[in-house]
Amino acid sequence: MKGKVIVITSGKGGVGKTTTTANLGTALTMLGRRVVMVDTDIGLRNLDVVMGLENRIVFDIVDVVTGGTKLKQALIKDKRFEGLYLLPAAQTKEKTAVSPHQMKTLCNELKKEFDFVLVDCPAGIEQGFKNAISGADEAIVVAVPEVSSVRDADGIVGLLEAAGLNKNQLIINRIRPRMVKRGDMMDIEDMIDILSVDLLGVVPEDEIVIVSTNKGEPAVMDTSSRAGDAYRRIARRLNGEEVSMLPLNHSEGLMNKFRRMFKMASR
Amino acid sequence: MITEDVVIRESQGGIIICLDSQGSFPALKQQLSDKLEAFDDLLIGVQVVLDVGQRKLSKKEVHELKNLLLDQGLHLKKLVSRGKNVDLKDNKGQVEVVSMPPARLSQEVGTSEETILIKRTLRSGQRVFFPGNIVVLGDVNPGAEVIAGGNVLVMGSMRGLAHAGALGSEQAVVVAFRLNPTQLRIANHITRAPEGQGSAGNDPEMASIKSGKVIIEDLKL
Ligand SMILES: Nc1ncnc2c1ncn2[C@@H]1O[C@H](COP(=O)(O)OP(=O)(O)O)[C@@H](O)[C@H]1O
Ligand SMILES: [Mg+2]
Repeated sequence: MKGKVIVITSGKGGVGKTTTTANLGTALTMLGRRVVMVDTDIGLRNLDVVMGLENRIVFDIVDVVTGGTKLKQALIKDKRFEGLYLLPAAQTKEKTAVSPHQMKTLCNELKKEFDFVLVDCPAGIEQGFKNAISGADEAIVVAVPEVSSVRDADGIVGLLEAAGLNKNQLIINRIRPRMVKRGDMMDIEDMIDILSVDLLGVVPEDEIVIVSTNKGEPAVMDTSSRAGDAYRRIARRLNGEEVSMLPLNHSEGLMNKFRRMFKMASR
Repeated sequence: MITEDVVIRESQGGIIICLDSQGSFPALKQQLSDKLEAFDDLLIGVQVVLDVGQRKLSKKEVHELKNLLLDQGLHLKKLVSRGKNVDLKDNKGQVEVVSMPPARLSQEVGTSEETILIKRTLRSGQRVFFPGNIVVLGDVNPGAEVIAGGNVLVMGSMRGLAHAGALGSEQAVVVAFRLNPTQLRIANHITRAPEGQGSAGNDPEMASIKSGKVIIEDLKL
């Protein structure tokens, strides 16, 4: 068995990398796949908290790569889902405790055992980022519909491409349908136009995400969650199914409106 | 830079690092890693050509240099040797090694009449400088910079910063299929796109200096 290593990244923090990792990991196991989620945010680990697995941590990623601990010992099995595992980040060690080379070796090891290796990337573009992407086969770039986030995402795609990663897909998170309808939100078409990467999915803003995060139960477990629903659809896409994009009933984006106005004015 | 042991030059799609032939290997390694550290994330993932000059390198030393680069997220693409001094055995073809006469490599870095072709989109944080002309087969996104001694030609959308005639030429122009830069410079003249202006249409436009001002007009062919 040879799985895929997918790094989930964004540049800026707080846009939903960890949320995405937890939900896609869970949703993929619901589809019967074997998944390991790797938290590379050394010093600021929180994937374990979002998954509700914090109290089960004994060993972490640094223990594994520095050779003292067997991978099997450090992997935390999520008892709620068949085939879901977490390799937690270290909380008290230096970011530089892991090298890109070691990370690559680790990922290669993991993909022998799992269908999907989801790597949750830390914020920023320093050592932690370099580590996180070094073992990846492809990337998911998470952005929120704001100009600054798109700028960050663009820079990240550039760095990914420079590192030889050319399968980069975009998830747009925290879309507010009402704002989209009013045309007050950055247009999805414009985001894709600038980033020129494939859109993997759009996840709406959803309070259930915050509630579920606090409970340690990813939103995909809640069938009434709209974000959970979006993540389940994205997981099916990752699993190779054709799943249509949900209609966003977006009327007309802000940029398009501007464009049209200017076209008219310049005539 | 020339006086130092480690010289880093940018070339098309990667960098060339020239290592001095003198000095101890550990000292050289230290200098190289300091230099790379200074470049930081600008260089991540970049392909590196290592020019070792006349220096004698053992198989272990080649391996060490390779790992040093890898730790900075850089990939060793080619090793250029001026002599036959590198121990190439047991390299398992992971690194391409070529021997080159001393003059060739410097010729690869262009003079001002030359044109480089960039076959991709330049993204936020990416910067290209070339003493000659620059042609981009793709977009230049917000946050990216294209700086040319000569002209800048963008076959897609120009949304970032363009600087033509950066070495002083007022004859230089910026042409783009969609010209919508955050900032545009020709020689030492600077303009910004008017507030709120989106790309006006699908017609190629050209920016040039006329009577001391940067003006933008439809490209007439
Ligand atoms: N679709 C969403 N709807 C509502 N809140 C969200 C959504 N996605 C993320 N959040 C919240 O945003 C915050 C940051 O998310 P997180 O996944 O930790 O970001 P990152 O890992 O990129 O730093 C968290 O409090 C999370 O609950
Ligand atoms: Mg996070």
